[in-house]
Amino acid sequence: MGAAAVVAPTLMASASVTPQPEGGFKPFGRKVKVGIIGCGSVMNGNYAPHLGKCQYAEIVSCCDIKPDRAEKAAKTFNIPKWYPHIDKMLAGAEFDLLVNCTDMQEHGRLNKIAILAGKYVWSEKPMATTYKEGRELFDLSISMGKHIWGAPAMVNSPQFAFMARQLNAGKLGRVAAAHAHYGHQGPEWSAFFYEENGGSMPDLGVYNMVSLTGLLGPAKSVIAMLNIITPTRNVEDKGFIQVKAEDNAHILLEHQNGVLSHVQCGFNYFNPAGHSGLGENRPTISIVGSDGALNLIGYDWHPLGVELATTEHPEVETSATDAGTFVWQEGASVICEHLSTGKELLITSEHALHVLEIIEGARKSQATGQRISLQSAFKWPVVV
Amino acid sequence: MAGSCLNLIMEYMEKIDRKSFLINLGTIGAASVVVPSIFAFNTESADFKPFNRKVKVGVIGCGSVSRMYLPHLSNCPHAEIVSLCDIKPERAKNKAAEFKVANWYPHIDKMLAGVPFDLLVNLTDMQEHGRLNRIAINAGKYVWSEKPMANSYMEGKELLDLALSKNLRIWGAPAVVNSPQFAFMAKQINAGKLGILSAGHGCYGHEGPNWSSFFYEKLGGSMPDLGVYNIATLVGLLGPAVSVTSILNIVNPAREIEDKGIIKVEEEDNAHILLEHKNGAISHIQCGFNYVNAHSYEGEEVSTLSVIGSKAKMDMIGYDWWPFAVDMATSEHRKYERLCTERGTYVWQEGASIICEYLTTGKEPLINAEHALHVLEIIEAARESNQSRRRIDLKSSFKWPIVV
Repeated sequence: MGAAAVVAPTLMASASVTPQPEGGFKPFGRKVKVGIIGCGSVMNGNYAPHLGKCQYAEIVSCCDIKPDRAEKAAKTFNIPKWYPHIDKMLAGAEFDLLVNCTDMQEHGRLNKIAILAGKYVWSEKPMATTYKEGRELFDLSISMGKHIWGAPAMVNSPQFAFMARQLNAGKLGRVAAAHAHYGHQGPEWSAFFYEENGGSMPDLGVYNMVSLTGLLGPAKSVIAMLNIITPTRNVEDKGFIQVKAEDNAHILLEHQNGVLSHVQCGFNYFNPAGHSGLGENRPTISIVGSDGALNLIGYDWHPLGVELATTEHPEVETSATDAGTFVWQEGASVICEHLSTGKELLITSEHALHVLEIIEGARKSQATGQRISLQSAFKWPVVV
Repeated sequence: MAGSCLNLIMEYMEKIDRKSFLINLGTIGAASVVVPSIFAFNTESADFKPFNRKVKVGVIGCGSVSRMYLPHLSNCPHAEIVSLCDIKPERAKNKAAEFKVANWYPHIDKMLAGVPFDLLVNLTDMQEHGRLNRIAINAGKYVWSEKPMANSYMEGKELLDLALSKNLRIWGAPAVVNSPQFAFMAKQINAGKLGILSAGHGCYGHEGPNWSSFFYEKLGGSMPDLGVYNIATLVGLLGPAVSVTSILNIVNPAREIEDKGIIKVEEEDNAHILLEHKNGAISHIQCGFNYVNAHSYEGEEVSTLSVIGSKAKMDMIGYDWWPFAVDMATSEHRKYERLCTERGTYVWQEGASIICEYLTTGKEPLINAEHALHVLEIIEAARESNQSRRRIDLKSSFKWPIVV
C-alpha cells in the first residue's frame, strides 16, 4: 500500500471536475479590463497595487457603496472610473473581470450579478456563503461561457509546489497526519468578520484548509468544535458589536486516502508575529508520515521555506526558501494572465468550493455534534 | 464515604447550565480559572497516616517499561522492591537478579501469597491493568498503575471507589504534572499571563513499538500509549474537558512484532482528538504509530505542545514526558523567550517513586487518580466519537488547577 495509495483518489476526484465551456477557452490576446468592487483594506493595501503592476491587467473602474472610498482609491491608483453601486459599475465603463473585495457576506450576491451581466469573476474568499450557492454560481458562469474563481492563491507558491512534489514522490511514506494553525487577535476595522457567516474559518482557517486539501487530497468528512471566546468587540466601522460568528475553531478532516488533518484558527490568538504574520519563522503546517515529515516555515500565504526530514536523510533540511514572485494577493493578476494568454491555472474553482463545503460542514458539525460527510472534490494532485 | 461525597458533587456539576456558565466565563476571562476548582474534589484520605518507613514494593510486568522503573525505584530512598512478577517467569527471574530483588513470582496469586508488600506497581500489558489492579486492591494493596488504570472509565472509577472503601489508594501514570515545565506553564495560566485562553495543541507519535503486540490489539492503540501524555498535560493546564470529538483510523493494517510475527492491527494507530474545556478553550491532540523519527526526537528541541491565549503563547520544547524548556511570547515581550530550561529531578518514570514518598512521608502528590480517570474517560469517549461519528459529553472531572 503506502505511497501508491495516494494515487487512487485522483482518479475519483477528476471525475467530478466540471466541463469547460463548449469550444474551449480562447485567450483574449490583449490586456484584461478589470473592475474592482470593494475599496477597503484588501483592495487598497494589496490587490490594486498588484493589479496595477500586472502586464495583463488594466483597471478600468472601481466601486464601493461608501463612495468616498471608491473615489479615493480611483485617485490613488489612477483608475479612470469609480462608482457607488454595482449596477452603475456594470452600466459604466466596459470590463471583462470583476474582482470582488467586498465584505465576505456580500460575495455570493455580487458575484451572481456580475456573472449574469456576462463578467468573469475573481472573488476574495469565500466565493459564496454556502457551498450550494457557490456551486450554482460556478455552474451559471460556465453556462454563460465564462468562469468564476476564488481566493486563496496559495497553491501558486513554490513552497506549496515543493511540498506537493515530496508527497507525490512518496518521500513521506505512508502519510498519517497533518496539523496547521493560523490566528491573530482579530481585525478591528470592520464588523463583518464577526457577523453571521463571518468568523475565523472563512477569514483565516480557509488558507490552511486550501493548503491541506491541496497537499493531502479532498476531504470526505469533517468534524469540528467552534465557539465564541470574546462575545463583544469594538470595531472601527460600528463601535461595540456582538460577536455572532465563531472566533475560535478547531476542525478535523478525514482525507480520501485515510490521512487525517487538523486546522485551528481564531481571533483570540496572541501572535508574536502580529496581524501581518510577517515575522513568523516557525512551522505553521506540519505533515508526518511513516518515512518523513514536512514543515512549512512561515504562513502558507507568506511562506519562507520548507523543512524536510526523512528516514534516508534524518537531518532536517530546509528547502524552497525563495518565494519567487508569489504573494497571496496575486490571484486576480494570475487570472488576468490566464485570460490574456491562456496560461493554465493551478487555482481551480472546485478546490475553493470544496473548502467552502468544509467550512459549512464544520459549522454544521458544531451545531449538531455530528461528523459531516462531504460531497465535493476537485482535481488532485494540484501540482504534479 | 469519600465515594458518596464524590457522587453528590458530580450530580451538582451536571445540574449547572453549561452554556450560561461558559458565557459568564468568556466575559470574566482569566479570573475564571479559579472557579472550576470549587466544584472539583479530591480523595485525599484525611486520616492517612504516613508509614514512616520504606514502602515495600511489588512490581508486576518485567517487560520494556520495567527497565525504566526498576532503576528509579532502586534509587528511591522511600522504596524497597521486595518482589517481581511476570507470567513469563524468566523475565521476572532475570530482572530480580539484575536489581537484586529477593523474590520473584510467575503469577500475581503467588506474588500476593508470597513476601508481604504495600504497593503494587503494575507495568503489564495495558489491557491487563484493570484486572490485576482489582486483584491487588482486593488483597489490600496500594496500587500505582502504568497507563491506563483500567480499560474503561467505569472500571477505573470502580477501582478507585473500591480502593477508597478499603482505606487504600490507586494512582495512575503518567506523571507529566510533576515536571518543572508543566508547573511553569500552569503558573503562567493561573496568573492570567495568557489572557483569555482559546486553544491548545499537542502532538506525539513515533513509528510504533515492535516489541509487543498488545499496542495494536483491541483497547490498545496510540491514544492510551502516546496521546495519553498530551491529554493529561492539556487538561492539566486548561482544565477538565466537557466534551470530545475525534477521528481515528488504522493507517498500517499489519505489523511485524518481535513476540508474535506479523499481526493484524485492530486498534487505531492514527488519532486526532478535540477537547472542549470547561473554561471555553478548545484543544487538539494528535498521536499515532506511523510518525517518522520520534524515538530519536528525545534529544530534539522542538515544540510538541502549545497553548494560546489572547495575551501570550507558550510552547513546550521537547515532549511533555521529557521537556527541555518553555518558549513564551507575550504582548509585552513579543519575541519568544526560552524559559524554564531546568528539568531538575523530574523523569517520566518517577511516578511509583513519588507515590512511595507520599506513603512514607505523607507528602501529597500532584498526581491524582481523578485526573488519570478523566483522561481515561476522554480516550474511551474518543473511541465512541469515532464509532458513532458524533461529539461525546464527559461526566468526570478532577481537582484543578493542579499546580497553584
